[in-house]
Amino acid sequence: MTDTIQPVSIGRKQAATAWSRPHLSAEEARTAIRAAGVALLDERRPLTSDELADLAHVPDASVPSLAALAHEVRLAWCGDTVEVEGILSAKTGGCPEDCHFCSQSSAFDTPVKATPFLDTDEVVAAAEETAALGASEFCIVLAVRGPDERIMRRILDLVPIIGDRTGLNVAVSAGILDPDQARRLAEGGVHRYNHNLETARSYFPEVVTTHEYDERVDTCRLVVDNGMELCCGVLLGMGETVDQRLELLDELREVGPAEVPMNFLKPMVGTPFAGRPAVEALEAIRWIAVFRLGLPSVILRYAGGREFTLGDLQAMGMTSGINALIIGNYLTYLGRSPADDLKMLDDLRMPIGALSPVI
Amino acid sequence: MPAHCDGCGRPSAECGGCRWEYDPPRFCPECGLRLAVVVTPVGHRERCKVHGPLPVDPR
Ligand code: SF4
Ligand SMILES: [Zn+2]
Ligand SMILES: [Zn+2]
Repeated sequence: MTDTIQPVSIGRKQAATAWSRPHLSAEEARTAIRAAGVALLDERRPLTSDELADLAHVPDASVPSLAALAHEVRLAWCGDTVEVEGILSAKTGGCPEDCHFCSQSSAFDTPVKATPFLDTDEVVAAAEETAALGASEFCIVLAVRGPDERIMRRILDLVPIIGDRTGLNVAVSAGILDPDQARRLAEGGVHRYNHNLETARSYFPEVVTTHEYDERVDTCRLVVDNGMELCCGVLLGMGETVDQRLELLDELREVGPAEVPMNFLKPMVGTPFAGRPAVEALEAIRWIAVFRLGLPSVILRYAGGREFTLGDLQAMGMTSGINALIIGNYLTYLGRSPADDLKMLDDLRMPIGALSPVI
Repeated sequence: MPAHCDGCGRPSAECGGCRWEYDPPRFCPECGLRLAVVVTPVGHRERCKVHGPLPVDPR
């Protein structure tokens, strides 16, 4: 019998994230976090890849300190405003691509049934729902490899109608673009175009076999070159290593997005990644903080999987570097109630508004 | 008691309900066929090609 408190293991099994080097000691972590604070807050210079790698390796006990710095950096670089967005899957399922996490791929036998492009009235009604929640951005998402001419016309019809009826900025996610399509979307008033890198270049072949990483990078470049804001997201928890998460962060810093949605894998029945373990909540907080510290001026958005991964820790993400969120439901599954998110922002005294990238 | 689980479509005798709280119904509770589902920011609706629209789910 001893009178010291012994830890008792409860809760979910630790997701197996592969670390290629040991964690820093507590003292090394304090030094690394302090140095990052000086760089980002006093010198206002971006961190190097090596500095970010050190921060990614702080011990679990230092994650709250890392998160606190990420929050301070977000306030210093972006202010306290939170950007709220609603998203709509306007054409669901039947996608010819084989992204192994996705329930909308026709390569896998999933519960999601393919449905055609929604009517204009339905899309506008969803945008109105979004506006009523106080959002400033509405994203029309289509499960396609890239837009064909019919889809291009529908998008170009919808964008001004939604803008006029709701006053929302309209974003679009319609896959791989060619230069002419990127130009037409920009001219047609698309404010932001979403095209995710999802994972590291070196892990991408494990995730997608029907297109190349460079096709994604090329579309991201076209978005920026045509003057649209680039929204370029990540999906953590697919089995990538820590080094690959850092590689992805470097890749993102290269393409220069205005917004980075942070998704965490919610394993989908019938997909090859159905059995992957959840990202642990504290790991999610660590990576939110590391991505904020690597991308200090970006709009870092809470996106899919936060209910699954973070559960009750969602408010902590908001003080770990996040400054935007998707409100309400996602594309094929539901989010927590908008009232809960709005109350969380109110409790944290974070005002809602539109954000633009810091030039 | 519905004839089928709306999470996986199996007969209720084989599945007592496996739908995660953040998933909309995906299979018709009457016939077990896949539903056409539309998820919008604040709602979702489902339609079976045989049995028509499902009653509105409070979730
Ligand atoms: S391109 Fe998009 S919709 Fe198609 S399988 Fe990949 S993630 Fe899913
Ligand atoms: Zn079931
Ligand atoms: Zn039916």
